[in-house]
Formats: sequence, structure tokens, C-alpha cells
Amino acid sequence: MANLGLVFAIAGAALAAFLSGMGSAKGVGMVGEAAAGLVSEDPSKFTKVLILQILPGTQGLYGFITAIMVMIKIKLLSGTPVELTPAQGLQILAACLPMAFVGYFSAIGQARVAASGVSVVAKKPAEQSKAMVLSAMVETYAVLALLTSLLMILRLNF
Amino acid sequence: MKTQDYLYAVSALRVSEENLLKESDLEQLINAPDYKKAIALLTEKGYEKPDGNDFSKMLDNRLSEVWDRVVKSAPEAKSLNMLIIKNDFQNLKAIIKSEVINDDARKYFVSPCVYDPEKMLEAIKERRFADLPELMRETAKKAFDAITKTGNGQYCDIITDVGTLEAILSYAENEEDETLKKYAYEMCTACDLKTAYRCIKTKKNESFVKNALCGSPMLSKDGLVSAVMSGENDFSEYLNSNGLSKYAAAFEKGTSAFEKLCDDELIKTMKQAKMTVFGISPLAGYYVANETEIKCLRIILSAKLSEASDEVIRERMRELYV
Repeated sequence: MANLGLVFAIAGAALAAFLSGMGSAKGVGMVGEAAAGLVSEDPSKFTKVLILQILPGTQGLYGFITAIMVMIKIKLLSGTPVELTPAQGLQILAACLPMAFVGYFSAIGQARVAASGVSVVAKKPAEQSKAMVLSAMVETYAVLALLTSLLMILRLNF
Repeated sequence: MKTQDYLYAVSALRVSEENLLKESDLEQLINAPDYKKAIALLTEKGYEKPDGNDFSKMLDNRLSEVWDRVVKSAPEAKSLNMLIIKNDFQNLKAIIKSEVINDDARKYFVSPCVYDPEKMLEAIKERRFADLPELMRETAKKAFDAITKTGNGQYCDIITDVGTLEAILSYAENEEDETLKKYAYEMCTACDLKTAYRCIKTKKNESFVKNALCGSPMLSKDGLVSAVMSGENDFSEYLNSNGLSKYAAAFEKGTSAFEKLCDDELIKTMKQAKMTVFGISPLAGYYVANETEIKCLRIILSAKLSEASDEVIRERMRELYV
């Protein structure tokens, strides 16, 4: 198992992209369902709810960025990956975990707030910005997780 | 069924909630000089124009349309049946009574309902009680026996009314949504309190009271029976000691105040659904909101036809959902 370190590193990148992406897909779908219900009755509110629907999608993007950063770090994109010991591979895997797990749970949490925000838009369209702010608060933790993962990946020396 | 499966329906109905009548609309209707003007105002709000003075059919149709809409929008609407099962028991009552006096029960049918009243009519005409829905089989048999043996319509009413509440409680026991469950329990409590109130006012005997009360999980049936038998003062005391002091105050004011409070407390419970996005309770809330609106319209329009004073109408207005 000469490449075990590399396997761990790639698993970390995959986990970050997979879990965050899965959370975002579920979240965007959830808000989309609520938004479709509103638009079926009042199509004029489409743009207002579209913004709310996009919000839980950012975690998937953060997971993708984390995976790309790992791939750059291990020179996977250039075709000749660096040789990693299992310990180094595990370090990269561990660095990916904040984004993977916080990405998944924050996307679903944010989707629940955004779906509730759709009801706010349905009843009080002028309060759309408040619904957005409430939903964006959850984003803070996804951003913190992204920064944690990126700083750790960038600071690893090998 | 997951609570998030109702997101589409909840959002769609939230938009429709905006079209419900508000207190200011009801006030405008109360202030209308006569029935015709009130109907004109109502048609402006999207209601159909009734056929002459018979507004009842128009309101029934409206409620049935609302029910159909709620059911069609929900991925699973079985839980909502607890809201309309009372109409099925009302139909059962109409069928049994009409059967005894050889009348056509169809003219008394109410909708929306869970079961087809025509099938129920056929089953009772042929005395095939086993063909009735399981939920009402025993009640139907008991009510039918009571009216045929004693000829007393009131016994039939008591049996079907208690059967209605028992059916609602059986729905509630299997319900996962806390708001719907609480609503069902409070509905039974409110009905028992209304029955207790009437029993006190008409001085019914203990055996009648025991048979007429359903026994809500929120109130001890034995305690309520003994409070009713002890008279008005003890009944008020019983209400106060059971955290129902609001009811005790309304009891002092009279029948319409007491019945209004029972309805208002129920709608207050359902208002919790306004703060919910996930789950079936907002759908139930929308139906109950329409039901309450229509109840208020019935009071206003009947009062306009009988030329009752605006003050009398205002006293009877129920709290709205919106």
C-alpha cells in the first residue's frame, strides 16, 4: 500500500465535496418545493424566492473549493501526485472534515430557515430581506468551516 | 410522511390565507344596511351570489371547495379527516332520523365528509350496519336501536354526538402532529363543556349527563358529572379549580358568550399552525380558518335576514384565524 497516504488525501477531498454537495442538493430541493408552492399561487414572487432557494447551495460550492485545494496541494491536477505517507494523507483527510460535516448540516439547517422564509414572502413580501438575513446567519458556520479546512490544508508542509 | 413533504402545500396555502376575510371585512358586513347589501359586499370578496335568501348552500359549497383544495394539495391528508368526521356523524344522524319518520335524508346531508353519505343511506335502509365505516358502526347501531325502541330523538342525538367525539379522539390518538392532537383534545373538552352547560340549564338527571358526556382526556368525566349535578355554583368552582376560569367567567354571561369562548379557544390553539412551516398543521389551520369564517358569515347573514341588531351580531362573532 505505497499510495495509502494519497488514498487518504483523495478520500478527504471526496468527502468534502460529497457531503457538502449532498447537503446543498437536499437543501436547495427543500426550499425549491416551498418556492414552487408559492409561485403556483403567485408567480410574481418568483425572483424573491429564487434568492432564498440559492442560499443553501453555497455549501456545495465550499465543499468543491476544499476538494480543489486538496487536489492542488497533492498535485493531482498536474498528473503526477506527490508521494504522501499515511500520516500525511490522514492529516489532509482530517483537514477536510470541518467542511464535509459542517457543510452538510449547515446546508440543511439553512434550508429549513429559507423554507420558512418562503412563508414570510408569501404573507409579507416586503419582509423578504429579513427572511434572507435569518437564513444567511446559518451561512456563517459554513464559512468558518471552509476557512478552517482551507487554512489547515494550506499550512500542511510536505 | 415527513413534515417537509408538506412544504409545497403549505406555501401555496399561505398565499391563499391572505384572501381570508379579516375582522375589518366582517365589521363592514355587519354594518351593511340589509341582507342584499351584505351579499353584494360578499360577492366583491370572491364569494358566489346565493340563490335568493338561501345562502346556506353557497357557503356549504365554498367550504367543500376549500376542503377539496386542501386535500388535493397535501401529499397525505388522512390526518385531516378528524376535522370533518363530525359531518359524517351529522349525516348518520340525519339518515337514522329520516329512516324512522320516512323522510328523505339527502336534504339534510352536510359536506365535506369522509364517507359517501349515499352508501351510508343504502346500508342503513337495508339494516346492513356491518357495511358502515368501522368508526361509526357501533354508534349507528346504538342510535338506531335507541330511536326505534324509545322514539326519543334526543337519545339518538346524544349517542351520535358522543360517537363523533370518540371518533375524533381515536384520530387524535394516532396523530403525530402536536397541534392537531391538541386541537382534537380541546375540541372534545369544548364540546363536553357545552353539553355540561346545557345539562345544567335544562336540569338533566345524572344518567343523562353521564351518557351525554364523552370524557375528554383533559378533564375528568366523573368530576365534570358531579360538578354538573351539584349546580351552577359548583360548576363554576369546578371550572376555576381546573384552570378553566375563562370558561367560568363566560358561564356567568350566558349561553352565547360560553359557546363563543369555546370556539375562540379552539381557534387560538389552531393559530399555533401559523408559526409552523413543516408539517400538516398549517393545512388544518387553513381549513379551520375557512370553517370559522363561514360560521361568522352564517351568523351575519341570518341576522341580516331576521333584522337582528348589529350589537347582537357583534356579540356572536368568533375570533378569526388571520
